[in-house]
Amino acid sequence: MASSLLTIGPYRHRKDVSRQQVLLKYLILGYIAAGTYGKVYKARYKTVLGNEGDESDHVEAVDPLRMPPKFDVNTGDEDVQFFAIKKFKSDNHLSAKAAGAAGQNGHDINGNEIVHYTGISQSAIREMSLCRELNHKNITKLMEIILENKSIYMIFEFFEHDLLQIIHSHSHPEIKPIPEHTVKSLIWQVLNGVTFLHKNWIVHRDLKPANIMVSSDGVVKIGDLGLARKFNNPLQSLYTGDKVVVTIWYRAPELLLGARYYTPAIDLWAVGCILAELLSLRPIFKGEEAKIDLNNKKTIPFQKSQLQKIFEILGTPTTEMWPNIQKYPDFFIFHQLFVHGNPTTYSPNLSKWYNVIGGKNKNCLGLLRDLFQYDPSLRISADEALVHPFFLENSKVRENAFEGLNVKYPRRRIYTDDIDITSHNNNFNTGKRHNDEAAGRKRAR
Amino acid sequence: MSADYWSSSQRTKWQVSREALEENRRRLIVLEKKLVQSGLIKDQPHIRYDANMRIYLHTLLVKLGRRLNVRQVALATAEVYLVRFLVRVSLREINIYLLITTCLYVACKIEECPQHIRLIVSEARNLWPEYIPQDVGKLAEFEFYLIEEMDMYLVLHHPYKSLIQIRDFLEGNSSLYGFTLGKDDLQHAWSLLNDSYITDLHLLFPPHTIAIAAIYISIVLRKNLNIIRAGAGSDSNKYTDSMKMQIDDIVSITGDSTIRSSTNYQSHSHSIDEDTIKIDRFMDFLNHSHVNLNEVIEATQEMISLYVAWDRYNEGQVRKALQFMLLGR
Repeated sequence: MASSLLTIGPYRHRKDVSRQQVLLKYLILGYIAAGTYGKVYKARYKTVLGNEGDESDHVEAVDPLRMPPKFDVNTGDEDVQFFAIKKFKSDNHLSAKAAGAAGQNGHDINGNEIVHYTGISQSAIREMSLCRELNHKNITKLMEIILENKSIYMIFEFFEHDLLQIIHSHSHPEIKPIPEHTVKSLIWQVLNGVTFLHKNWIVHRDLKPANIMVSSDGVVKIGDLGLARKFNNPLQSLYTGDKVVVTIWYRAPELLLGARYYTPAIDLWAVGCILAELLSLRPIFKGEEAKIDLNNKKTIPFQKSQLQKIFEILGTPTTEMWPNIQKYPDFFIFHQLFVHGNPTTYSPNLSKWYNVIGGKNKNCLGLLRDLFQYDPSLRISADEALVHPFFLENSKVRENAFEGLNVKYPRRRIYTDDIDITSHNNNFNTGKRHNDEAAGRKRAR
Repeated sequence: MSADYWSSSQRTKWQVSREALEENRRRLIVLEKKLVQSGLIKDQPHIRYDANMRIYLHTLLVKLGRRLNVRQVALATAEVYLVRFLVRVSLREINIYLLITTCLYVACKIEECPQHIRLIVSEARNLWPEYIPQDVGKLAEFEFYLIEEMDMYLVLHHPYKSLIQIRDFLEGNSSLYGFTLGKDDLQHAWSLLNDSYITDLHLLFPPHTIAIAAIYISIVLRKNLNIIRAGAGSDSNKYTDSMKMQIDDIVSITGDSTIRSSTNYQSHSHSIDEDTIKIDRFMDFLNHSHVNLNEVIEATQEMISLYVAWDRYNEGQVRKALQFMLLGR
């Protein structure tokens, strides 16, 4: 008795018998994406399925944990509500080691998986706690969180589209630009969501097309707050803890120069990249990422290629454009590589870039320029950008970004090869080929 | 929202009325009875979540926090988690030492000063070797249950920020309200806030209400200290203006704890007059502020009665009772 109390035995028992189980409530249809964080599954309520009374209960009684979808998921009617369930990969080496010690590749003698609690990761804690507070029409809505059997399931509203997919369907098989009024409405809604985050002292830190969902009625929903954090009272620099933030192509120059105390302006740079990508249908600064040396994880590599791509279009930054540039930790190496003894310093070229992609709107170019300010203190803020002339001129921002658009975007593709959401051994790495960037997406088609 | 108390989960999900709180605690007593009947826990009716116990839990948390050198705000967050958890869970079905450690572990993550799970377990084991399991998995397991019990609402707004805001506001508008909060006032109010986490206040009232109550008590306390000092005559130099709250002094003002009643004290000392003026001016400010004064009074009274209870606090008694429950000896 005493030892059971020490390990919260009585309480744990009481809670475990009454816990909501994710698989009793949701039917997993397949997964949408996988990454280092874990996996995202598409799901719907189970009760919708059981239209013959307790039929679903009956099915669950057979094997509630491993029930395959028994109907064609793509015939789903429009009024069924879908969910995106994000399951965090149960962290770190601790569990693997402990499981290894038990022999049998992490299974007990009956073939059941042995899983250990290892402590919830900082990023999962952030995402859970922030999403629980946020409520805004341009942020993906968190419906609930289920903590079950050592796993975290975050249940979000499901959205059929994202900007990466929209860009892709405009560039394949042939290029057909996204109409400017659609781009305008999309990017305004992105800025509206970012304004909301920044007003709540949250910096997103991972804005990119794949993380911007769009509902079938054309409403932008910013997702994946896994890297987001509050910045209102940073007693430590934001750099401490997360040395590398933002996917490389969308990473602001101050981050590339090693900034320790960066600001929400990094999100606006990423919005600039997204706007440019919506216009040209390809990433504007498509650098090669210098990978972290696995033998020396403490040294953050200098991203020369990425900076070069930026400079080719925006020009090599000077102290006139960016008075504080000399104060950044990696200024010296930047100076060595791009200024000192380098015969080709680049001059600003953004308007040429804009002409080449066929852009005609001066206000749009102006907004790009404001978002691509090198100096983060001069870069336009999210709420300033909302009232930029680009959004106030004749063709107005629409609540439904798809209004007047005669393109039908395909539904989000789902994968059904590994849909056991309760398994702790989800093969996250094979999943990765379906993930993120356009290349992966192309292959999956 | 995360920046705004008014739309926060703290207000919309976790702020409760006193009646609801009492109802919850009644339900817990029923639950305990059921657990005893079904043989899941032993009948130990003397283990109660009373002021004695709450002060004990607070001192445990502070001890662990000091060892790990965590920021005050993380400590405060951990204390709120503790109180929230014990609204829904009986003390008698868990290991309170493990709970305290878990609260601090989660709070450090939320307040962006994470402590490694091994470090926090080893520090807790240094303090309470017989109660903290060596296996860090036990703490990690409890983390899930703690977060679940709070319905995954983890972001908090603390009165420390309101206190600083009020101080700054008064400084910026000193010509209007005619007074500011001095360094000592601020320090007193700050330590009152530290202690306020022992009470239910953070479930009942918004942070600014608690901050105002703390300011009020520290101003009135200061006046009382000055009265005591004046009464002590030549002995007054013995008194040192310590940052630590003097329990006796606060107890001594419980007699006239109703707001304003202390202004009827007429003293001839110049400094006391200044204090009285200060209280009056603070009341002016409150009247202008649209703050719910009834709530401020309630919070003030609750904080004062905490110190009355603290006067009778018996640490050994609680420690032994818990030892008997958890270790059977």
